[in-house]
Amino acid sequence: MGLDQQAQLERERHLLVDARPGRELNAMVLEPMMRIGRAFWPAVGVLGFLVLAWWVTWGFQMWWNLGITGLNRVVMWSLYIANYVYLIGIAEAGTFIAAALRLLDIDWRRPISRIAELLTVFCIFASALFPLAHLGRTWKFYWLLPYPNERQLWPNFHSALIWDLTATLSYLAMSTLFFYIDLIPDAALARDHVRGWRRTLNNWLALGWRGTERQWRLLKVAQLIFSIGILLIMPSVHTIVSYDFAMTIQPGWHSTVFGPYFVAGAIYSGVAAIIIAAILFQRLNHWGYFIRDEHLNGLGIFLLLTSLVWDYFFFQDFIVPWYGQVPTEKQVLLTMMAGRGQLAFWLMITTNAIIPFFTLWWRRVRTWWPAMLAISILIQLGLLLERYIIVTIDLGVRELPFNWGLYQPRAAELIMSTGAVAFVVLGFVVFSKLIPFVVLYEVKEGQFLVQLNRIGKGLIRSKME
Amino acid sequence: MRGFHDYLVLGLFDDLGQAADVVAALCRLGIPEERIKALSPFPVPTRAYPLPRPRDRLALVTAVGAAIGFLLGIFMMVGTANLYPLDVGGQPLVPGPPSIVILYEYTLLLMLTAVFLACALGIRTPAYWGQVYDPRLTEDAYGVLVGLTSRELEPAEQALRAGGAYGLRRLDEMGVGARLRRWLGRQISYGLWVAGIVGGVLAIAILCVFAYGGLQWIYPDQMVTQQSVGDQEGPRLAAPTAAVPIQGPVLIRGQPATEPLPGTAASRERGADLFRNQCYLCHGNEGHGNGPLAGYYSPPPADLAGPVVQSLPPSEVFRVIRLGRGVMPSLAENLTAGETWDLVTLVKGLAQGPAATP
Repeated sequence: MGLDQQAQLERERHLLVDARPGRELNAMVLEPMMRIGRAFWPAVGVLGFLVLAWWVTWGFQMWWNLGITGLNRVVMWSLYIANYVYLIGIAEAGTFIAAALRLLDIDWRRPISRIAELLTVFCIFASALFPLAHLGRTWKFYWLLPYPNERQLWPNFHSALIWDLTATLSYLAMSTLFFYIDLIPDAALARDHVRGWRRTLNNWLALGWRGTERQWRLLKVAQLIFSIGILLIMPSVHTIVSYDFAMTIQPGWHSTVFGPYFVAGAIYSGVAAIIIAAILFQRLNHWGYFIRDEHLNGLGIFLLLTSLVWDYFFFQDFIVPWYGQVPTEKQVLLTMMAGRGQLAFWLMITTNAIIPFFTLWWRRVRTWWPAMLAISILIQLGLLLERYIIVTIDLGVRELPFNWGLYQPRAAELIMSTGAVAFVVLGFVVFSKLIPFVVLYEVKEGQFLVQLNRIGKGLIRSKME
Repeated sequence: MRGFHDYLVLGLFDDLGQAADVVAALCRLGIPEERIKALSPFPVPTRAYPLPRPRDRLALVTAVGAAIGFLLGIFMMVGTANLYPLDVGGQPLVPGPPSIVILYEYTLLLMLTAVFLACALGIRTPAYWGQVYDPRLTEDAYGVLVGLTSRELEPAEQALRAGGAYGLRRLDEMGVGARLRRWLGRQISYGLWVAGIVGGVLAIAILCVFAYGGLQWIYPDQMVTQQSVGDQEGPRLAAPTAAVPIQGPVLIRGQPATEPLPGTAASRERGADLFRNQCYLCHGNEGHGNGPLAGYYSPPPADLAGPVVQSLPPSEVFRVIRLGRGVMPSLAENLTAGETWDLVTLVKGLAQGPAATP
């Protein structure tokens, strides 16, 4: 193969050697902000309607109280809590991936980290609303916060639910700040090259960014500290979410492996969600330049890895109670596998363990976007089912058979769940018109650092450190 | 831009090497390093420019933030528990291992918040006074920004052009107005810092003053307008007629209860039915206190047909059935007031003959 051909091939394969002038890159990144496609307003309409339906239903629930849901005395945690765990799981993975891949300096992170970070922000906002809906008396929410009040009462820090609140709010704040720190130079880019009210918005967001050495130094160090901080805080958050369950003595919940099991599930669903978002951005924005086969491939390998980790922890959480044969634990397993949870259970096993295992080993699958999209959506379904099983099926099986119960979601829960997913998608649709969606300075940095060098008859990629 | 200067000059370069060479040339002209800034559209290796490595204190901020967060966590776990002690059986006031969870979260929360604030303020602060900028700096161009005195202006601009700079921009800061603006800008920026910190502390302090009753917010409520009577004082207000729930006659010893039902045959008939269920097992068929269970009790059940019981007023019989006496339990939960009066009718008639056949 001639050198020209080799160079051509390398440029097609790898974003970082396919350097283009900065003006062209800017235009590509800013193009979705400046152009409103045919599908935009219909999409905003439909998604906005679903989100509105969520909030109207919530208001209705506040008026009529929780009786309109399928909650009952035995199964007093429901789809709301399942949604909370599911959405916060996706949220965990977004910044985790952005932070971990940055610390490991993995180059395929560069064009997708903003998508991951935004996914975190929207998902954690949506998820944090579900415990509030579950409170019933949502307006009493502030009673949970530690603030100096007239009665001099403080929250009970013995309670796992207060740990959960602390962790969730910390993570909400931290992932939003993490997203924002990464955004600053790109906001400056938008400030310089768009007009109108979005220039004003990005001017505010850019904090007077000019790109001096001192600013870059501050940004880099803050990013480093935040990456480490996020890596410390992220497992703790989902572990504490699992404590909501594991700290009880409910059979099926009272498990020491719940923490890492939840963390594994969180990262798993998050990676799958990032793949969905990345593919949609690639297809809808015609971003074949930024999101290429190498990125889908990298994400696919990561997905396979997290899938195997999830399989391992699921097996752990399954085999110990199964082998122990404690009657109540056994009954929980029987209800899941052969009782009324069996459809959900076996569907979950299929989508979470079997399908990824038998497909993702092949690069051809990992780089074919329809397959990746389908697998990722199935994994989302499977992980929502997993949380649904843990919350509602397990809770229906108590120590004493007179106290067993059945839960079925009613319209309120279904509308609110759909609304939450619509909220996340709507967030992406709206924000894609407000801010640049690629961390462009990282792409430019990568293109500056990675070069093709000729050695003998071949062109070899090399990276300056 | 630190240091004294009259002009700010910005030159753009297509190549990082060119920009670095020009910085070196400017240094050779005797321009102090702190007046030269290098700008770039993405982070470039810091060693490229012959400038001192920019300093930041984020490591210190991290440590201080983490320490504040840790102390806040300690306050939450130990302080709030002791501010309002709530003893729960079997639990210590300050939880042991669960404290680790809260301490961990608060430490990280405050640590990262502090880093964010320091980073954002550090990025934001230089822009309060006059600046030169070019939007091409977020495309491809590398920039060199230099503050010059009027003596340095000519040779420095020559050096920039010779090094390949294009799009030279100059900000004249010679005039009194510009100097005043710069000075004011600096004061305002420091003022904002101070105002922000003082304002934050004040806000928390004011909140605490109100929360702990140092100051009270007088707002109208219904208690102000209603009639109030002190303890053991004033005219005692009569209770509204419907205020005390009475589900039957008032039973006060010595005062006869009203007798709503005349002792008719129908009442005696109903009383006989009730007697079989409620009384027979102890007091026996004829009320002589010799029912099947009578032997289990000491003292034995009363002889209802005997002179002691028969001489009691009906209201006293009613009271005993309702409230019980000695070994005899209260039957108030089993009988309504009307049913009790039916039984009273029956008991008062027992002297004439047996209650009923069971």
